Amino acid sequence: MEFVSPWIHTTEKCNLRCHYCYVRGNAVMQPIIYHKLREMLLKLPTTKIHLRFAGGEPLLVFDIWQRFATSMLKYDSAKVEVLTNLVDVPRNFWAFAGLENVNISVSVDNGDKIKVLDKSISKKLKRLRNPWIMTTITEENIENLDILAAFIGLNNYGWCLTTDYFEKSVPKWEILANRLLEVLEILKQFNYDFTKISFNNASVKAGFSGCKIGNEMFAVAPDGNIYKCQTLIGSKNIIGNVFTGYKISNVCERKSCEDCSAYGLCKGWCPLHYKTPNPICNVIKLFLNKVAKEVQNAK
Amino acid sequence: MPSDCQCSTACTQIVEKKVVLNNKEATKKLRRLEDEVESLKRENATLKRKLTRATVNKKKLVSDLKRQLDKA
Repeated sequence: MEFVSPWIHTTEKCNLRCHYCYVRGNAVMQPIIYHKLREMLLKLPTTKIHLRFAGGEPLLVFDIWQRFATSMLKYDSAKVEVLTNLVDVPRNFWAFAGLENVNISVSVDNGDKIKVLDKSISKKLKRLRNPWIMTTITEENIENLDILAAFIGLNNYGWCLTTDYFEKSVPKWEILANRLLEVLEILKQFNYDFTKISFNNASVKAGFSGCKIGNEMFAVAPDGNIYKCQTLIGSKNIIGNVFTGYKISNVCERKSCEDCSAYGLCKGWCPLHYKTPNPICNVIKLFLNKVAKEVQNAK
Repeated sequence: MPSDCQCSTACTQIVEKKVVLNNKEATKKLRRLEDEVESLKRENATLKRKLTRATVNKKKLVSDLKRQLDKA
């Protein structure tokens, strides 16, 4: 085990409730679960701990997990990632966000109604050190991606683009490919660092792990149960809990991908919900081909 | 060091950088990807047409962005 990276489902509560989101309910993780999680993590055969605080909206319960996160940062190789919509920010969060080894990823879709890029979000992003933007591409925001690309390009933010896990609202692959390649053209105009962009976990960045669910990556539910993936929380697929640990299972190996020309650069997107080959693989190939060229040209 | 997103980690301090491909292998691999992408474009006329037409009006984009961010 090279590292461990739990997805900590701090709460099911959210202040947005986007149409493509799989999270339902109002559960909140309590301090005892964080305490037991800490004990479990420190027993694992790795010292490289990467905590992902997510939800729901984790900043709604920042007061509950802040102490745990800060205590874990005392370990040299521990890192904290917060995945937030940055809509309601507690005042004491800004100091926490500025700590070394704390990184913030912010959901911005620039949809007509969902996760809109506005003055408020733009201002808050400027207060963060190297934030990454997370965008879920759906039919609702695909037309607005050009403006978002200009914003990302101007600020040279890292950008993680994904289709939604369950492909409920994924535009046709040709439409998606066209738009994505346009987005890359826009970024090029801003001398963007193309090692900072990914699409469905495909990236040319060295060390980009891809999904490692059930192994290094797993999800901890508010009640302490452990699942391979956050999208399985609430299902019967429990692989352990914070009190007794979890059973490792390799689900990310994809034999069907081994002959693909993008194998090695593409990390196979979502091993649970995305079956290969898939029309979206065409988009990934077009994306990687363009990004690899831009990275090579920049050298 | 910028961070990562959702289902992947990009922290090179955590995932040790592994050289998976040497230069020769990488070049070969990228050429194969390029060939495949070209045939994909050839097979899909709409895609090809749209891609060759794509132009970027940077000034307009920046001004649209500014207008959007200036809204209350």
